[in-house]
Amino acid sequence: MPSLFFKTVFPWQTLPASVPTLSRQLLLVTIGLLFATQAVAGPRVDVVVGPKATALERFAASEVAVQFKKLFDADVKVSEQVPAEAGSLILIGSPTTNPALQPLAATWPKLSDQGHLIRSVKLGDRKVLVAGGGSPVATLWAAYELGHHFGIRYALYGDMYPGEPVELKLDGIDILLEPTLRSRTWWTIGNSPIGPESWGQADQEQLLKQLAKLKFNRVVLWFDASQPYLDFEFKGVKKQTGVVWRGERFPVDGDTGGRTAFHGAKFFENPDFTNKKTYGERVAAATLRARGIIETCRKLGMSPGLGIEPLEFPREFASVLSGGDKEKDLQLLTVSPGTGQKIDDARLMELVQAQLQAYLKTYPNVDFISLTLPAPVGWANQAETAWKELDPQTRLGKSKTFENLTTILDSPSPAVVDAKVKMLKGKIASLAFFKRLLTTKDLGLVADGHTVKFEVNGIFPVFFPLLDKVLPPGVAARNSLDLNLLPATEKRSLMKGVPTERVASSLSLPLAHEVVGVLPQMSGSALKSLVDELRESGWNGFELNCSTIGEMDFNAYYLSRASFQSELNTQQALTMMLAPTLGEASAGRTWKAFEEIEQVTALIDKNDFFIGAPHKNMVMQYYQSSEPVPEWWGKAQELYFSAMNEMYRVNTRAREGNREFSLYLARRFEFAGEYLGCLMAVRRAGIAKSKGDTETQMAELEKAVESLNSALNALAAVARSNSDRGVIAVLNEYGYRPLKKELEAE
Amino acid sequence: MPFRLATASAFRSRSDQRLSHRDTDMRGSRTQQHGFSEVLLRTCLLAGLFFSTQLNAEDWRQFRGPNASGVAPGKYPLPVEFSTTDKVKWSVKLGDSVACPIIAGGRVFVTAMTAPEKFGVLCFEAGTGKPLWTREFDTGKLPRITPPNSQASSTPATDGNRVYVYFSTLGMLALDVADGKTAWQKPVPQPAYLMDWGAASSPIVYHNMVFFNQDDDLNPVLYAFDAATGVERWKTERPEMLGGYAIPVICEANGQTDLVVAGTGMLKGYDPETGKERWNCNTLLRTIMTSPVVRDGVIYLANQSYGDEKRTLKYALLEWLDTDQNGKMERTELPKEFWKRFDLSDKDHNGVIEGDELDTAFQSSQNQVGGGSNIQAIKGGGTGNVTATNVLWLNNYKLKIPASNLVSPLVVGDELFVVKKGGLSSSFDIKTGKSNWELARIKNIGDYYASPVAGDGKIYVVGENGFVVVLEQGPKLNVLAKNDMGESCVATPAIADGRIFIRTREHLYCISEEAK
Repeated sequence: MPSLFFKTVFPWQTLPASVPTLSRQLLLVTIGLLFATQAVAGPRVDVVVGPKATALERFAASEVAVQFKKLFDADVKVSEQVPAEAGSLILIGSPTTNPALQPLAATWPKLSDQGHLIRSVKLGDRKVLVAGGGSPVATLWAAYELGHHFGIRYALYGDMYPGEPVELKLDGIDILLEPTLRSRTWWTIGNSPIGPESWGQADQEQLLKQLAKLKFNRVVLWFDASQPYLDFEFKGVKKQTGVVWRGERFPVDGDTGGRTAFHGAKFFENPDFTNKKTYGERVAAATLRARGIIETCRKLGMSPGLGIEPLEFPREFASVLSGGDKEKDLQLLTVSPGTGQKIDDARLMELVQAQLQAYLKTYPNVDFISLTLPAPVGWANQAETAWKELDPQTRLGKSKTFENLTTILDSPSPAVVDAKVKMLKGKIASLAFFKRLLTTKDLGLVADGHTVKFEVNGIFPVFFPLLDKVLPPGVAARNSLDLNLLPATEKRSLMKGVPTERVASSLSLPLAHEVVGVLPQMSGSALKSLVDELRESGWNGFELNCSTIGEMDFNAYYLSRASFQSELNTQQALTMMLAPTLGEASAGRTWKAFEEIEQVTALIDKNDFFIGAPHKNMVMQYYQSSEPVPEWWGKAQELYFSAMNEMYRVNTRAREGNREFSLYLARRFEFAGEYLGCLMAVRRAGIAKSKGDTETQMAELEKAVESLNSALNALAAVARSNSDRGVIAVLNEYGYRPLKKELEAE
Repeated sequence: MPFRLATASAFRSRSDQRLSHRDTDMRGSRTQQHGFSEVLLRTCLLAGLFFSTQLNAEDWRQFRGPNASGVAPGKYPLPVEFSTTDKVKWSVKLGDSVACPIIAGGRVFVTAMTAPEKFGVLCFEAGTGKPLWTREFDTGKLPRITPPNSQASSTPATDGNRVYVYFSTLGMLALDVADGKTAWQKPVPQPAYLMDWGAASSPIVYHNMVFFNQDDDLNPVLYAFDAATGVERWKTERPEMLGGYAIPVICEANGQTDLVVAGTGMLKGYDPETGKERWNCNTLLRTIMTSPVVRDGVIYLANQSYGDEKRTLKYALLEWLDTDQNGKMERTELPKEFWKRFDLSDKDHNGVIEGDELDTAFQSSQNQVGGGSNIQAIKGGGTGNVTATNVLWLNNYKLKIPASNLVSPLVVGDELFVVKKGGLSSSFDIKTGKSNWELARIKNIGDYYASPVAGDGKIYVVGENGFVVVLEQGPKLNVLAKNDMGESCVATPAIADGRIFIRTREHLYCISEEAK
């Protein structure tokens, strides 16, 4: 520090002679100490990457530097050569990518492309720490594992650093991790205002960075045909539909509950689409945004893919489809084949292929496309033909007859059985169509010569044992057991039937997806049960398709750790996550809160799975009913408030930082309790209305408005993503304003 | 458009305001420590400056203006309907703060967090919004607070010469009103709150003294600093108090002037010259966050403290700080600032405080008051315990509680007005305590932190959601308007010279009929 030293000389050289000698000496010593203190920053740490290190390995080194600076106030230098005199020394990479690690080549463990290690070793006389992996991205994960070792915990919203100072100690570390679940997939975009379609590009990138730290390795950008992520033309028909959230708008100015979350904006919107008024502007914004996400995935070592429903088209393509009974979505923005469309219609196949090719042309830099298998009930009458079409190639009929398939569906309600059978038949017809589609020559060939892979999602569990027969070779499956976690767990035995040695399969974990909606739900025990089954049944991994991700931090953390540490249970994982960041005592209270949320989840699953699902009538439907307030609502509210109290206790305890985690959950659970309070008041108002008791009706409507206002304010106070803001905006539009309108009308 | 010309009658009308208002405004020094000639000279100089620059300037020199009353003394017309664009004379974007603006000599003073660890004091010309000066201070590491509190929470006060500003890590600062230069800075121990509420106490100025009451959970103290020099004139410890935020008020009654401070269980009157306690009235509750209001020698209070009369601090500790919920407090369950107190309270040295130890660990054994709610009128003046003699009326509530735990009452005309969460308002006759209306909605559901203010026959009620509801002043509830200020608002507005200064979370708006 020579320059600093010279600076320290000048002040006392210029002290006036009038300063008494002793005072002068004291002053000099003080100044000297002051500058000495300033000169000595934190410990010196040298991080060395190979001269030919990949971008990911260099990024890994820079991430170590950032984390060590924050953890230890370290003076970190990243270089390509081991300095002669180093402080603490960290070598990044492997013997093949970093020459400094060559002396360890003989003892370097055999690592898979996802395996990674952090290990204290001796190189000659020097103690060094190695952070490396079997591939560049595995090396990046090793860097993040190093941060984890020192107490950093990665949440979806950001990093939690240790609450207490940590000692920089690089010896005695020996961690080697290999995954038991190799595929860890995150789905993004979708088409919900309470989901990631609301997130701007900057927020998406921030989330992807966190996912990389959590060692997720695949990202699916999930589009639907009404959105502006694709522009294409087919036989003179040009796509013209391209809207966000199926064209819905959510005003947030004026009397809006929880409007502080919007910082003065008049509408809730995805910032990437602000002022994008025309179709062309929206397409440009959407493709820019999606390409940006794909590029970020690449930079972070994650494999990007698309998720599309190939049999859904923008409405203007109706003329291309046959028959007059095409299926339409609720907003009439998209069309799908109806009964009049033959599954072997060449023109339909051409349209599907054209749309797929357009996606690949627009997003050539993806690795895979996940195709959603629809269940067009209009195709039910072609199911038997389709089954026969599948049979000769696969001897499918020997495994299960068509009659077998359709008779195993049962339900207390004949109408439900009928609907299920129709859907199943639609799926069979779609499977036959998909099989032909996916065997099209060069279907996944991209202009640069690489070929994208295909996988199919949305296959009913009844087909699990037949996956290798109904899907072409090389096509992977993304399977789902149920829309919600607890029922999915009850069906876990179905997972054993999947021929995983022939079809790479991953399980869609039903956590915080759009249907779960606005109410927080989770179940640690169910999650662990499914993860255990994934391993036992030899599945490739899991997929998360979350909308409101607020309470997903722990689930994501658990999945991240459990993918590499089979023995870990959820309570251990929670302690591992919170002990260094909020304190061990906080982990215990948080576990208690989570147990209560698990009880709520069970109540919701049992009684009204769709209670939190966002739709226009989600609140007012309860006003139309004169049924008594369901008892379980009160119990669920009690549990939410109890969980809220636990999280407030955690919050008071978590004094040195990371309160963002605890306060968020406290207020999120408060939101949920108040929301249920609103529904109860709405139902009581409805009962009073049916009895002509206007006074009670008005009083209850007022309570409903007040409870919803409190709910929205509670969430607004901690809103940290556009999923949260989306929930607030949606509930204003679907609940708060209709209730106020009703109140003011009476 | 030039605003109203100053007239002698206008100034007289302000001068004729109640004595208590005039005194806390400190328009001229009356301290006996200075010679008469000096007083005269200063008064003339001040008056000269006053009339030469802002002939019509009407001031609002502290939290809730004259003696924390919330009532604007002027008669200027105030707007009923306004917004962030309508009737806005000027506006400015500032950093985060929940402190109120204050006005003196045609200048507005506000505070804000201008950067994560920078505290700003800003001065604007009241009529135009022209920035006059800004001071920024490095705060160092900031203490823990609980939202919606802000680090910039304390409302400054001024005597027209200096602006007195408190900040938790900086202590008390006196800045020259002319240029913002630091006249003096006095360290004040950082407050400690068991629940991490954070600092939010505000100073007042009276008779050349700056009074600052900091009731925290560790070392509650009432300070008096010399306004000119910052020298501590006296300080009075208040060990029987818990954390609270009532601002001191001046009450003249029975021929004596008292500095009146509300706190845990007790309203106390102190001699402002010495800090000696003169009287106490033991009708208050555990946690006092609202401020009293004085009118004609009577002190009005509206309080609400969570729980019933048996809910002493112990129960709050066991509910929120006893992390393992074992009914005992371990040292690590408390913030570090309280560990020393913990050790003293752990009389049997078994490492936990429990049972009787817990009762008195943080709440005085002499003041084991619990929660509840009441609205009351207490006659000022007196000596000793005046509980039996000075309570004019007292309404206790168990159900259907009209008082807020956060929003101070407003006494205007013959009414005492209160508002609470949900936009539920109540009004009482100040002579009898009988209600004019109770728990009627003002059509703005939401949270309320700011206290209502009044002027020109209207009451302004600011909701946290940023809506300002305007009511007609009177014994019947009449909502005149609901105005949208666009963002969260926790600060109480200020009124001066026919202008309403509304400090939202990030902005300051000057609302006036002057605006085009």
